[in-house]
Amino acid sequence: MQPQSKIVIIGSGMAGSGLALELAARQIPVTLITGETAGYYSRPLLSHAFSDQTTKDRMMLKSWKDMETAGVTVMTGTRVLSINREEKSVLWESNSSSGELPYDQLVLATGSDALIPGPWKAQKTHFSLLNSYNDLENLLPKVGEVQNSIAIVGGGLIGCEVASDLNKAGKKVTLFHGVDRLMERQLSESQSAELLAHFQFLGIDIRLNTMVKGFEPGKVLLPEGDSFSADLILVAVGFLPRTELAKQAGLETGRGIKASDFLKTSDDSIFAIGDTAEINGQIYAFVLPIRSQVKWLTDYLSGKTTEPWTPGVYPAKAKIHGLQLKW
Amino acid sequence: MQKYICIVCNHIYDPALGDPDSGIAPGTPFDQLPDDWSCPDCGVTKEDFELYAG
Ligand SMILES: Cc1cc2nc3c(=O)[nH]c(=O)nc-3n(C[C@H](O)[C@H](O)[C@H](O)COP(=O)(O)OP(=O)(O)OC[C@H]3O[C@@H](n4cnc5c(N)ncnc54)[C@H](O)[C@@H]3O)c2cc1C
Ligand SMILES: [Zn+2]
Repeated sequence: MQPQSKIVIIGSGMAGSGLALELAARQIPVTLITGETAGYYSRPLLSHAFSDQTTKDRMMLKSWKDMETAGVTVMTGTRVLSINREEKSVLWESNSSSGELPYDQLVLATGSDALIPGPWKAQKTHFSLLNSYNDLENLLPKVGEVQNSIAIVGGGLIGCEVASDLNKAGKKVTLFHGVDRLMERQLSESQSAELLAHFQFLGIDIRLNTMVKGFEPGKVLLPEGDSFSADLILVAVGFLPRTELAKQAGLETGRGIKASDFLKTSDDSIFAIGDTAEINGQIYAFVLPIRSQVKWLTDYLSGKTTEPWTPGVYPAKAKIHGLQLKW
Repeated sequence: MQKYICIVCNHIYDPALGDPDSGIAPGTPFDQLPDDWSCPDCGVTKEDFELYAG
Protein backbone atom coordinates (compact mmCIF):
# COMPACT_ATOMS: atom_id res chain seq x y z
CA MET A 1 0.00 0.00 0.00
CA GLN A 2 1.08 3.53 -0.73
CA PRO A 3 1.78 5.60 2.36
CA GLN A 4 -1.08 8.10 2.69
CA SER A 5 -0.15 11.73 2.60
CA LYS A 6 -1.11 13.62 5.70
CA ILE A 7 -3.80 16.24 5.25
CA VAL A 8 -4.31 18.81 7.99
CA ILE A 9 -7.21 21.28 7.95
CA ILE A 10 -7.42 24.41 10.12
CA GLY A 11 -10.96 25.54 10.92
CA SER A 12 -14.24 23.69 11.47
CA GLY A 13 -16.74 25.90 9.66
CA MET A 14 -18.60 24.64 6.63
CA ALA A 15 -15.38 24.86 4.60
CA GLY A 16 -13.10 22.92 6.98
CA SER A 17 -15.66 20.48 8.41
CA GLY A 18 -17.26 20.02 5.03
CA LEU A 19 -13.93 19.07 3.48
CA ALA A 20 -12.93 16.83 6.39
CA LEU A 21 -16.20 14.88 6.15
CA GLU A 22 -15.99 14.50 2.36
CA LEU A 23 -12.39 13.26 2.56
CA ALA A 24 -13.21 10.88 5.40
CA ALA A 25 -16.11 9.51 3.35
CA ARG A 26 -13.47 8.54 0.77
CA GLN A 27 -11.36 6.84 3.45
CA ILE A 28 -8.72 9.57 3.24
CA PRO A 29 -7.14 10.25 6.65
CA VAL A 30 -7.52 13.84 7.74
CA THR A 31 -6.88 15.86 10.89
CA LEU A 32 -9.05 18.88 11.69
CA ILE A 33 -7.76 21.51 14.11
CA THR A 34 -10.25 24.05 15.41
CA GLY A 35 -10.50 26.75 18.02
CA GLU A 36 -14.19 25.87 18.32
CA THR A 37 -15.46 23.83 21.29
CA ALA A 38 -19.22 23.41 20.82
CA GLY A 39 -19.27 21.37 17.61
CA TYR A 40 -19.71 21.90 13.87
CA TYR A 41 -22.61 24.30 13.58
CA SER A 42 -24.46 25.97 10.73
CA ARG A 43 -23.42 29.60 10.66
CA PRO A 44 -26.23 30.87 8.39
CA LEU A 45 -28.75 29.93 11.07
CA LEU A 46 -27.19 32.35 13.57
CA SER A 47 -29.36 35.15 12.25
CA HIS A 48 -32.52 33.09 12.78
CA ALA A 49 -32.08 31.93 16.33
CA PHE A 50 -33.97 34.68 18.15
CA SER A 51 -37.55 34.09 17.03
CA ASP A 52 -37.35 30.31 17.23
CA GLN A 53 -35.96 28.73 20.38
CA THR A 54 -35.28 25.44 18.62
CA THR A 55 -32.83 26.96 16.13
CA LYS A 56 -29.93 26.99 18.57
CA ASP A 57 -30.07 23.21 18.95
CA ARG A 58 -31.00 22.58 15.34
CA MET A 59 -27.94 24.48 14.10
CA MET A 60 -25.57 21.94 15.61
CA LEU A 61 -24.82 19.85 12.51
CA LYS A 62 -22.29 17.39 13.92
CA SER A 63 -20.87 16.80 17.36
CA TRP A 64 -17.12 16.15 17.55
CA LYS A 65 -18.01 12.57 18.32
CA ASP A 66 -20.03 12.36 15.08
CA MET A 67 -17.01 13.70 13.21
CA GLU A 68 -14.68 11.14 14.80
CA THR A 69 -17.15 8.39 13.99
CA ALA A 70 -17.15 9.57 10.38
CA GLY A 71 -13.38 9.05 10.37
CA VAL A 72 -12.06 12.57 11.02
CA THR A 73 -9.37 13.11 13.66
CA VAL A 74 -10.44 16.28 15.50
CA MET A 75 -8.43 18.57 17.76
CA THR A 76 -10.94 20.93 19.35
CA GLY A 77 -10.43 24.01 21.49
CA THR A 78 -7.05 24.14 19.77
CA ARG A 79 -5.60 27.17 18.07
CA VAL A 80 -2.92 27.06 15.44
CA LEU A 81 -0.35 29.68 16.35
CA SER A 82 1.95 29.45 13.37
CA ILE A 83 2.87 27.52 10.28
CA ASN A 84 6.42 26.31 9.70
CA ARG A 85 6.59 25.98 5.93
CA GLU A 86 10.18 24.72 5.85
CA GLU A 87 9.45 21.80 8.13
CA LYS A 88 5.85 21.50 6.99
CA SER A 89 4.31 21.55 10.41
CA VAL A 90 1.90 23.68 12.42
CA LEU A 91 2.37 24.83 15.97
CA TRP A 92 -0.80 24.40 18.01
CA GLU A 93 -1.92 25.23 21.51
CA SER A 94 -4.89 24.22 23.64
CA ASN A 95 -5.76 24.99 27.26
CA SER A 96 -3.92 21.96 28.48
CA SER A 97 -1.08 21.42 26.03
CA SER A 98 0.74 22.42 22.89
CA GLY A 99 2.75 20.78 20.16
CA GLU A 100 3.69 20.51 16.53
CA LEU A 101 1.79 18.58 13.91
CA PRO A 102 3.41 17.73 10.59
CA TYR A 103 1.48 17.94 7.32
CA ASP A 104 2.00 17.05 3.69
CA GLN A 105 -0.91 19.20 2.62
CA LEU A 106 -2.39 21.97 4.72
CA VAL A 107 -5.80 23.54 4.16
CA LEU A 108 -6.52 26.97 5.60
CA ALA A 109 -10.25 27.19 6.27
CA THR A 110 -9.96 29.83 8.97
CA GLY A 111 -13.06 31.78 7.95
CA SER A 112 -13.79 35.36 8.85
CA ASP A 113 -14.32 37.71 11.76
CA ALA A 114 -17.01 40.35 11.95
CA LEU A 115 -15.57 43.58 10.63
CA ILE A 116 -15.06 46.34 13.19
CA PRO A 117 -14.04 49.67 11.65
CA GLY A 118 -10.84 51.02 13.23
CA PRO A 119 -12.30 53.88 15.26
CA TRP A 120 -14.88 51.55 16.85
CA LYS A 121 -12.36 49.02 18.14
CA ALA A 122 -11.78 50.98 21.33
CA GLN A 123 -15.58 51.01 21.94
CA LYS A 124 -15.98 47.28 21.49
CA THR A 125 -17.50 46.74 24.93
CA HIS A 126 -20.45 48.98 23.99
CA PHE A 127 -21.82 46.76 21.22
CA SER A 128 -22.31 43.09 20.29
CA LEU A 129 -21.49 41.08 17.19
CA LEU A 130 -23.10 38.01 15.66
CA ASN A 131 -20.45 35.96 13.94
CA SER A 132 -20.17 32.68 15.80
CA TYR A 133 -22.00 30.24 18.04
CA ASN A 134 -20.26 31.81 21.04
CA ASP A 135 -21.57 35.23 20.01
CA LEU A 136 -25.06 33.77 19.83
CA GLU A 137 -24.78 32.21 23.29
CA ASN A 138 -23.70 35.60 24.67
CA LEU A 139 -26.46 37.45 22.84
CA LEU A 140 -29.49 35.27 23.59
CA PRO A 141 -29.76 36.18 27.29
CA LYS A 142 -29.06 39.85 26.50
CA VAL A 143 -31.86 39.89 23.93
CA GLY A 144 -34.12 38.28 26.51
CA GLU A 145 -33.43 41.15 28.93
CA VAL A 146 -34.17 43.92 26.44
CA GLN A 147 -36.95 46.16 27.78
CA ASN A 148 -37.27 48.77 25.08
CA SER A 149 -35.28 48.77 21.95
CA ILE A 150 -32.49 47.13 19.99
CA ALA A 151 -30.28 49.09 17.62
CA ILE A 152 -28.74 47.35 14.63
CA VAL A 153 -25.91 49.09 12.84
CA GLY A 154 -25.59 47.94 9.23
CA GLY A 155 -28.28 47.28 6.63
CA GLY A 156 -26.47 44.55 4.72
CA LEU A 157 -27.55 40.91 4.53
CA ILE A 158 -26.86 40.02 8.15
CA GLY A 159 -28.19 43.27 9.62
CA CYS A 160 -31.45 42.88 7.68
CA GLU A 161 -31.84 39.19 8.53
CA VAL A 162 -31.32 39.84 12.22
CA ALA A 163 -33.69 42.83 12.13
CA SER A 164 -36.33 40.59 10.59
CA ASP A 165 -35.79 37.85 13.17
CA LEU A 166 -35.70 40.13 16.22
CA ASN A 167 -38.87 41.80 14.98
CA LYS A 168 -40.47 38.38 14.71
CA ALA A 169 -39.31 37.69 18.25
CA GLY A 170 -41.40 40.70 19.31
CA LYS A 171 -38.55 43.18 19.80
CA LYS A 172 -38.60 46.85 18.87
CA VAL A 173 -35.83 47.26 16.31
CA THR A 174 -34.15 50.35 14.87
CA LEU A 175 -31.69 49.83 12.04
CA PHE A 176 -29.07 52.34 10.91
CA HIS A 177 -27.61 52.17 7.44
CA GLY A 178 -25.03 54.53 5.94
CA VAL A 179 -26.34 54.61 2.38
CA ASP A 180 -29.70 55.30 0.76
CA ARG A 181 -30.99 51.74 0.38
CA LEU A 182 -30.90 48.36 2.15
CA MET A 183 -28.63 45.51 1.02
CA GLU A 184 -27.34 47.63 -1.85
CA ARG A 185 -24.65 45.05 -2.63
CA GLN A 186 -27.09 42.24 -3.30
CA LEU A 187 -30.41 43.77 -4.29
CA SER A 188 -31.71 45.82 -7.20
CA GLU A 189 -33.14 49.23 -6.33
CA SER A 190 -36.70 47.97 -6.58
CA GLN A 191 -35.92 44.99 -4.31
CA SER A 192 -34.36 47.35 -1.76
CA ALA A 193 -37.52 49.43 -1.88
CA GLU A 194 -39.65 46.32 -1.43
CA LEU A 195 -37.60 45.28 1.61
CA LEU A 196 -37.86 48.77 3.09
CA ALA A 197 -41.64 48.79 2.67
CA HIS A 198 -41.88 45.32 4.22
CA PHE A 199 -39.82 46.39 7.25
CA GLN A 200 -41.77 49.61 7.69
CA PHE A 201 -45.05 47.69 7.51
CA LEU A 202 -43.76 45.46 10.31
CA GLY A 203 -42.85 48.49 12.42
CA ILE A 204 -39.09 48.22 12.08
CA ASP A 205 -37.60 51.70 12.27
CA ILE A 206 -35.18 52.07 9.33
CA ARG A 207 -32.80 55.04 9.30
CA LEU A 208 -31.14 55.26 5.90
CA ASN A 209 -28.30 57.66 5.02
CA THR A 210 -27.31 57.66 8.66
CA MET A 211 -23.61 57.32 9.29
CA VAL A 212 -23.07 56.08 12.82
CA LYS A 213 -20.22 57.98 14.48
CA GLY A 214 -19.47 55.72 17.40
CA PHE A 215 -20.78 54.31 20.66
CA GLU A 216 -21.15 55.05 24.32
CA PRO A 217 -22.65 52.65 26.85
CA GLY A 218 -26.28 52.13 25.73
CA LYS A 219 -25.97 54.76 23.00
CA VAL A 220 -25.42 54.94 19.27
CA LEU A 221 -23.76 58.24 18.38
CA LEU A 222 -25.20 59.90 15.29
CA PRO A 223 -24.23 62.87 13.11
CA GLU A 224 -24.68 66.42 14.40
CA GLY A 225 -24.34 65.43 18.03
CA ASP A 226 -27.51 63.32 18.04
CA SER A 227 -27.64 59.95 19.72
CA PHE A 228 -29.97 56.99 20.01
CA SER A 229 -30.47 55.03 23.24
CA ALA A 230 -30.85 51.28 23.06
CA ASP A 231 -30.79 48.38 25.50
CA LEU A 232 -28.72 46.38 23.06
CA ILE A 233 -26.57 47.46 20.14
CA LEU A 234 -25.61 45.00 17.43
CA VAL A 235 -23.02 45.87 14.79
CA ALA A 236 -23.12 44.06 11.44
CA VAL A 237 -21.10 46.04 8.92
CA GLY A 238 -19.23 43.32 7.07
CA PHE A 239 -16.67 40.56 7.49
CA LEU A 240 -12.92 40.29 7.59
CA PRO A 241 -11.12 37.16 6.33
CA ARG A 242 -8.73 35.74 8.93
CA THR A 243 -5.40 36.11 7.19
CA GLU A 244 -2.96 36.47 10.13
CA LEU A 245 -1.62 32.90 10.07
CA ALA A 246 -0.99 33.09 6.33
CA LYS A 247 0.55 36.51 6.57
CA GLN A 248 2.93 35.45 9.36
CA ALA A 249 3.96 32.46 7.29
CA GLY A 250 4.84 34.75 4.41
CA LEU A 251 2.01 33.63 2.13
CA GLU A 252 0.56 36.19 -0.23
CA THR A 253 -2.50 37.93 1.16
CA GLY A 254 -4.80 40.66 -0.02
CA ARG A 255 -8.16 41.18 1.65
CA GLY A 256 -8.15 37.39 1.96
CA ILE A 257 -5.50 34.70 1.61
CA LYS A 258 -4.55 34.76 -2.05
CA ALA A 259 -5.21 31.53 -3.89
CA SER A 260 -5.09 30.33 -7.47
CA ASP A 261 -7.86 28.57 -9.34
CA PHE A 262 -6.39 25.37 -7.89
CA LEU A 263 -7.28 26.91 -4.51
CA LYS A 264 -3.55 26.93 -3.79
CA THR A 265 -1.83 29.70 -1.90
CA SER A 266 1.60 30.93 -2.94
CA ASP A 267 2.92 27.73 -1.25
CA ASP A 268 2.20 24.62 -3.33
CA SER A 269 1.38 22.50 -0.27
CA ILE A 270 -1.06 24.96 1.28
CA PHE A 271 -4.65 25.48 0.13
CA ALA A 272 -7.19 28.11 1.16
CA ILE A 273 -10.99 27.74 1.00
CA GLY A 274 -14.10 29.41 2.35
CA ASP A 275 -14.51 32.95 3.69
CA THR A 276 -10.77 33.35 4.15
CA ALA A 277 -9.79 32.59 0.55
CA GLU A 278 -9.34 35.23 -2.12
CA ILE A 279 -9.41 33.22 -5.32
CA ASN A 280 -8.11 35.12 -8.30
CA GLY A 281 -9.01 38.34 -6.55
CA GLN A 282 -12.49 37.25 -5.51
CA ILE A 283 -13.79 36.23 -2.08
CA TYR A 284 -16.77 33.87 -2.15
CA ALA A 285 -18.22 34.24 1.32
CA PHE A 286 -21.41 32.24 1.14
CA VAL A 287 -22.62 28.70 1.26
CA LEU A 288 -22.98 27.65 -2.39
CA PRO A 289 -19.51 28.55 -3.69
CA ILE A 290 -17.94 27.18 -0.51
CA ARG A 291 -19.71 23.83 -1.03
CA SER A 292 -18.42 23.90 -4.58
CA GLN A 293 -14.84 24.54 -3.38
CA VAL A 294 -15.16 21.72 -0.85
CA LYS A 295 -16.29 19.25 -3.48
CA TRP A 296 -13.63 20.33 -5.95
CA LEU A 297 -10.82 20.10 -3.38
CA THR A 298 -12.04 16.67 -2.29
CA ASP A 299 -11.78 15.51 -5.90
CA TYR A 300 -8.42 17.17 -6.35
CA LEU A 301 -6.86 15.77 -3.18
CA SER A 302 -8.18 12.31 -3.95
CA GLY A 303 -6.74 12.45 -7.45
CA LYS A 304 -10.11 12.57 -9.20
CA THR A 305 -9.52 15.80 -11.04
CA THR A 306 -6.59 17.76 -12.42
CA GLU A 307 -8.77 20.54 -13.81
CA PRO A 308 -8.93 23.84 -11.90
CA TRP A 309 -11.90 24.95 -9.79
CA THR A 310 -14.24 27.10 -11.83
CA PRO A 311 -16.71 29.35 -10.08
CA GLY A 312 -20.31 28.98 -11.24
CA VAL A 313 -23.35 31.17 -10.99
CA TYR A 314 -24.62 31.10 -7.43
CA PRO A 315 -28.16 32.20 -6.78
CA ALA A 316 -28.70 33.45 -3.25
CA LYS A 317 -31.56 34.60 -1.10
CA ALA A 318 -32.10 36.53 2.08
CA LYS A 319 -33.76 34.95 5.10
CA ILE A 320 -36.37 37.64 5.69
CA HIS A 321 -39.57 36.45 7.36
CA GLY A 322 -42.55 36.87 5.09
CA LEU A 323 -40.65 38.10 2.02
CA GLN A 324 -38.92 36.24 -0.82
CA LEU A 325 -35.78 38.05 -1.92
CA LYS A 326 -33.52 36.35 -4.44
CA TRP A 327 -30.61 37.50 -6.53
CA MET B 1 -42.92 9.60 1.79
CA GLN B 2 -39.23 10.02 2.62
CA LYS B 3 -37.97 13.15 4.34
CA TYR B 4 -34.62 14.68 3.39
CA ILE B 5 -32.23 16.77 5.47
CA CYS B 6 -29.89 19.57 4.39
CA ILE B 7 -26.29 18.75 5.33
CA VAL B 8 -25.40 22.44 5.61
CA CYS B 9 -28.16 23.69 7.90
CA ASN B 10 -30.27 20.72 9.04
CA HIS B 11 -33.38 21.98 7.27
CA ILE B 12 -35.75 19.05 6.79
CA TYR B 13 -37.73 18.73 3.57
CA ASP B 14 -41.00 17.07 4.45
CA PRO B 15 -42.94 16.08 1.31
CA ALA B 16 -46.18 16.27 3.29
CA LEU B 17 -45.59 20.01 3.77
CA GLY B 18 -43.81 20.79 0.49
CA ASP B 19 -42.29 24.26 0.30
CA PRO B 20 -45.19 26.64 -0.40
CA ASP B 21 -42.94 29.74 -0.24
CA SER B 22 -41.11 28.43 -3.31
CA GLY B 23 -44.29 27.23 -4.98
CA ILE B 24 -43.83 23.56 -4.09
CA ALA B 25 -47.20 22.00 -3.31
CA PRO B 26 -47.69 19.77 -0.25
CA GLY B 27 -47.34 16.15 -1.31
CA THR B 28 -44.37 16.70 -3.66
CA PRO B 29 -41.79 13.93 -3.18
CA PHE B 30 -38.17 15.04 -2.86
CA ASP B 31 -37.08 13.52 -6.17
CA GLN B 32 -39.77 15.48 -7.99
CA LEU B 33 -38.47 18.85 -6.80
CA PRO B 34 -37.18 20.93 -9.72
CA ASP B 35 -33.38 20.98 -10.15
CA ASP B 36 -33.23 24.68 -9.37
CA TRP B 37 -35.05 24.24 -6.06
CA SER B 38 -32.88 25.37 -3.17
CA CYS B 39 -32.88 24.98 0.59
CA PRO B 40 -35.21 27.61 2.07
CA ASP B 41 -32.82 28.15 5.00
CA CYS B 42 -29.36 28.24 3.41
CA GLY B 43 -29.73 28.09 -0.35
CA VAL B 44 -27.90 24.87 -1.23
CA THR B 45 -29.21 22.67 -4.01
CA LYS B 46 -30.79 19.19 -3.83
CA GLU B 47 -27.33 17.64 -4.11
CA ASP B 48 -26.58 18.66 -0.54
CA PHE B 49 -29.61 16.91 0.93
CA GLU B 50 -29.50 13.38 2.27
CA LEU B 51 -32.15 10.91 3.34
CA TYR B 52 -33.46 11.71 6.81
CA ALA B 53 -33.93 8.73 9.04
CA GLY B 54 -35.59 10.50 12.01
C1 LIG C 1 -25.11 35.60 10.81
C2 LIG C 1 -24.67 35.02 9.48
C3 LIG C 1 -25.64 34.61 8.56
C4 LIG C 1 -25.26 34.08 7.33
N1 LIG C 1 -26.24 33.67 6.46
C5 LIG C 1 -25.89 33.12 5.27
C6 LIG C 1 -26.88 32.63 4.36
O1 LIG C 1 -28.08 32.71 4.62
N2 LIG C 1 -26.48 32.07 3.20
C7 LIG C 1 -25.15 31.98 2.87
O2 LIG C 1 -24.84 31.45 1.81
N3 LIG C 1 -24.19 32.41 3.71
C8 LIG C 1 -24.52 32.98 4.91
N4 LIG C 1 -23.54 33.44 5.75
C9 LIG C 1 -22.12 33.28 5.35
C10 LIG C 1 -21.63 31.88 5.66
O3 LIG C 1 -22.06 31.50 6.94
C11 LIG C 1 -20.12 31.84 5.57
O4 LIG C 1 -19.74 32.12 4.25
C12 LIG C 1 -19.54 30.48 5.96
O5 LIG C 1 -20.01 30.09 7.22
C13 LIG C 1 -18.02 30.51 5.98
O6 LIG C 1 -17.53 29.27 6.38
P1 LIG C 1 -15.98 29.02 6.65
O7 LIG C 1 -15.85 27.59 6.98
O8 LIG C 1 -15.19 29.57 5.53
O9 LIG C 1 -15.60 29.95 7.89
P2 LIG C 1 -16.08 29.94 9.44
O10 LIG C 1 -17.43 29.45 9.58
O11 LIG C 1 -15.72 31.32 9.91
O12 LIG C 1 -15.11 28.91 10.14
C14 LIG C 1 -13.78 29.21 10.42
C15 LIG C 1 -13.24 28.25 11.44
O13 LIG C 1 -11.83 28.43 11.60
C16 LIG C 1 -11.49 28.37 12.96
N5 LIG C 1 -10.20 29.06 13.11
C17 LIG C 1 -9.83 30.28 12.62
N6 LIG C 1 -8.54 30.54 12.93
C18 LIG C 1 -8.07 29.47 13.61
C19 LIG C 1 -6.82 29.13 14.19
N7 LIG C 1 -5.76 29.95 14.12
N8 LIG C 1 -6.69 27.92 14.83
C20 LIG C 1 -7.75 27.09 14.90
N9 LIG C 1 -8.96 27.34 14.37
C21 LIG C 1 -9.12 28.53 13.73
C22 LIG C 1 -12.68 28.99 13.65
O14 LIG C 1 -12.73 28.61 15.00
C23 LIG C 1 -13.82 28.39 12.84
O15 LIG C 1 -14.09 27.10 13.27
C24 LIG C 1 -23.89 33.97 7.00
C25 LIG C 1 -22.91 34.37 7.92
C26 LIG C 1 -23.28 34.89 9.15
C27 LIG C 1 -22.22 35.33 10.14
ZN1 LIG D 1 -29.92 24.24 4.13
